[in-house]
Amino acid sequence: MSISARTTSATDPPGGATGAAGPGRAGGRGTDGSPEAPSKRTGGPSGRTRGRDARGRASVWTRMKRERATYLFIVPGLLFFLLFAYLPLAGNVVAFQDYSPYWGIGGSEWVGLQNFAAMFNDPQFLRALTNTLVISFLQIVFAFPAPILLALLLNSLISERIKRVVQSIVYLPHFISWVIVIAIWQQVLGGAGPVAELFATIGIDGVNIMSDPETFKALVVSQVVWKDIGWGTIIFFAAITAIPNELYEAAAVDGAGSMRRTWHVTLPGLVPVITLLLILTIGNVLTVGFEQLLLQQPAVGSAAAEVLDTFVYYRGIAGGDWGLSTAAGLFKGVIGTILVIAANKFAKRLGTEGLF
Amino acid sequence: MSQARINVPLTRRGFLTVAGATTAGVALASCSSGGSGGQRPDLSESVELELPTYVAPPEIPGGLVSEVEGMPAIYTQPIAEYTDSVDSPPLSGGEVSTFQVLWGAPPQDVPANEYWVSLNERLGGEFKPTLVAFDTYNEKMATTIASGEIPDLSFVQDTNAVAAQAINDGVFADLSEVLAGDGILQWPNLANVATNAWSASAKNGHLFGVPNEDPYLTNFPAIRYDLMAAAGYDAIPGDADGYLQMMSDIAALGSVNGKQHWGIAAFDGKAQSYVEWMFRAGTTWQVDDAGKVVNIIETDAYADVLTFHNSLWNAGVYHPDALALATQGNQAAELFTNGQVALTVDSFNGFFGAGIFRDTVDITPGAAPGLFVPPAFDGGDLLIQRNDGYWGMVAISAKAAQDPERLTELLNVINYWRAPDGSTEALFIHTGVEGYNYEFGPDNEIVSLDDETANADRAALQWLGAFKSPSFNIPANALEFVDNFRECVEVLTAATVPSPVVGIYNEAAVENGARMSEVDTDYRGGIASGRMDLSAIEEYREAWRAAGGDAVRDAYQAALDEA
Repeated sequence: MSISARTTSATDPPGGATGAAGPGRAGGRGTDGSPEAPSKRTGGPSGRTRGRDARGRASVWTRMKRERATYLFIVPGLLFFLLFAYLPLAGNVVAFQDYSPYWGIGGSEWVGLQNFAAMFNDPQFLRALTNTLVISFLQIVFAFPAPILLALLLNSLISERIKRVVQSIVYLPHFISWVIVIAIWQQVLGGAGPVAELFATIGIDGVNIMSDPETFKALVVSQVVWKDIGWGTIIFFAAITAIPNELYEAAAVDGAGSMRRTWHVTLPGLVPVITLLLILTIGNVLTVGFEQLLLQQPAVGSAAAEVLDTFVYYRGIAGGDWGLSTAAGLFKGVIGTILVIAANKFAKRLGTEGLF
Repeated sequence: MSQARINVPLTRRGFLTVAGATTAGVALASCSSGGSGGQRPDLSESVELELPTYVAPPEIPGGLVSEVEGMPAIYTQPIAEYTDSVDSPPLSGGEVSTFQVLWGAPPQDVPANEYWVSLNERLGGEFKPTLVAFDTYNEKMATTIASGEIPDLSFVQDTNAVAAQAINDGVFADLSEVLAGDGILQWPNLANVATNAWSASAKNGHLFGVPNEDPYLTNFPAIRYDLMAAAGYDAIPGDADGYLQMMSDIAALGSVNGKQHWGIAAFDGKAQSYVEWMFRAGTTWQVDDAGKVVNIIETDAYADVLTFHNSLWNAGVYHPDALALATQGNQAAELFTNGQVALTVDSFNGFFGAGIFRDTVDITPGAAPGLFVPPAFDGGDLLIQRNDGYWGMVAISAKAAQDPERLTELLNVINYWRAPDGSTEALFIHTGVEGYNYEFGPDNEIVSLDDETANADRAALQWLGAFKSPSFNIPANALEFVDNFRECVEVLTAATVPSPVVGIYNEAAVENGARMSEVDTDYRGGIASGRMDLSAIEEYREAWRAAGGDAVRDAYQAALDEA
């Protein structure tokens, strides 16, 4: 049994999935090619060595090598995230530049925090931020619980057939793009649509639900509910199915009616999923939809409809001010990260498992 | 005007470095697409521009030439004989890549697309376009530039921030020297570009492209005369009150012959403009008596314009979704073509090229669409802002232009595209391939084969962005609309006045344009639709000034003071 030149047990992760179980092959390639020889290599910033540590466990590297086939499975996913999620993150440095697409990041002028200063001094940004927060709050309060309620409702249906039919119908809008959704809503609820005509026949003229800035935020939330409520139920249904039937039977034996069973069995069974989704939703609190709002902005005006994403679009893509736009995007990302971490901590404090 | 004397300092933002950011930048230097090889042009100093020599395009017999200055000739007769304006193919093999706008359906690929096959033959090389819907022009422009692969020829709409930034960044070649004076005569068709188009499109004395020449006026209001008659009007009333009454009466009809209609489909910039003419609100930027530069929205007449729109709105003249329809351009035009709208504002290309008049008549029995001259509010004269003389330009990649021979070839291509009326090249560009898009009738008139695919194949590829000098070629099936068109356009063209700031390069306008226009659309729609009270106009002006209006004004003021 080889013993590495330096003790690294303090920095070794405590027995993870790749665990030190089983002796396996002794650590690393020794310089003399013999597995019995102590590894002389002490390189690496952490001073971690190949081979085994003082407690006789295989080092991370050794274990990784041993499980290389398993690790190979991680590679494509890892590459995907590195290439398409982490590497592009570096592009956020544009927030500190007067960026020119032609000259690229290397050739553009650095302007420090000027974009952030301009952003916070911009009344349009502050208005966009306020609108975003208000819409987000309404979505969390109304659009988030909607699929839970629908799932509970559908779950209480006895006929499997009706359940399937209803499910299929409520799923459908999810697959329609926002452009079409808005067009449909405009046809139905717009000033020239049947709803307005109905009001006109009873003597109320000029009803145009689609262009009233006062009620626009409620309209946005209703559209989100209409479009995604069915899709949202899928996860909750899966969670409901996972609740053991014995619990319901036991509750029924104890005399619980259907309401009580829902309250004391189904809902507690859903709490982990609800917590998880809520944390994710809170992380996206500054993202409230882009096409939906961009398409409706002309009708209700930017005072009601400008949100951070449309702000980024107008400034960056339409206005060519990439630096300011990226600064707004970075701001969104940072706030989102902070919120996710905070919500996760809070969830753990409440006794649920949290996200990570 | 022999030279442009403009000097607007280009203010790059100040420099403030954060150590961390710099480090990241060094690390990321490899990610930059890099304009390596080129240089940023120095546009901060105005230089004297030697304008290219102007040569009038050849006159074609049979054209209706107007006495009115700025009125393009109208051709209703078939052209008897077509001549070549280009001796040899523009390219000597190889290919030419372009970045151009796609207005309609995408084309088929070669070899199914006979127009494309013919185009390749005529150009003497392979034509490789990047076709971009105008709605996504900004995004595509930015990403194309960021990729570092700049097409040889690009349509550059330079009032657009992304495109203007590209010019500043040195993406496109400075053509000032090559085209200066008689230098342009090497490309005779380019010499047909009017002098004011060159001077208006120059940036502080630099030419970055061949301008797409515009007539004095592009958009004209049209009305359904049959609906007017149904409402009891046989002529357009003489003042704003009468006009408002007429539009209200037309809208109040609700439907005629069982077809529901509205007064006006969309409240957009075009609908806004003709009411500005009526109230003589003037040009977008104007100089007041004290010599101060003011914007149209700061004038009293502008408040009247918005009040008038609001009156139209309250009278039910606008479609209830007129604000949303403003950004759904085709849908609004289709409502007119379908006979569901009484009034629309469109261009010659819309009315005649896209066949709005023809289709309206064919779709709705009894429909009688035609242009009209709106009355001034007090029965006096109209005041109409004249176009700046160009609408975008075709620019050449700076990298491609480094080789003088290649530059010559690329200018040859634009020269081909700009072939004048009566040339075989113009016939090909604007009409297509004989036997595929059209055939000749007994009197040498052009008869369209009405093959939608073939026409889309042509329309999609031919919009390079620089065309022959403006003229109105009336299709054979639309001759009945010519007299009304000519009468109205003559009156309207005669009422145009040029903007005092035309040709002044204003970087602040480019930088803040998108913000200013967002504020503008927002408040204009708000006040017209009654969502906001008219008293919000002060807030409107304030918001617009803060969004960059003042910066733009200052730049214009400085330029005018210096002149």
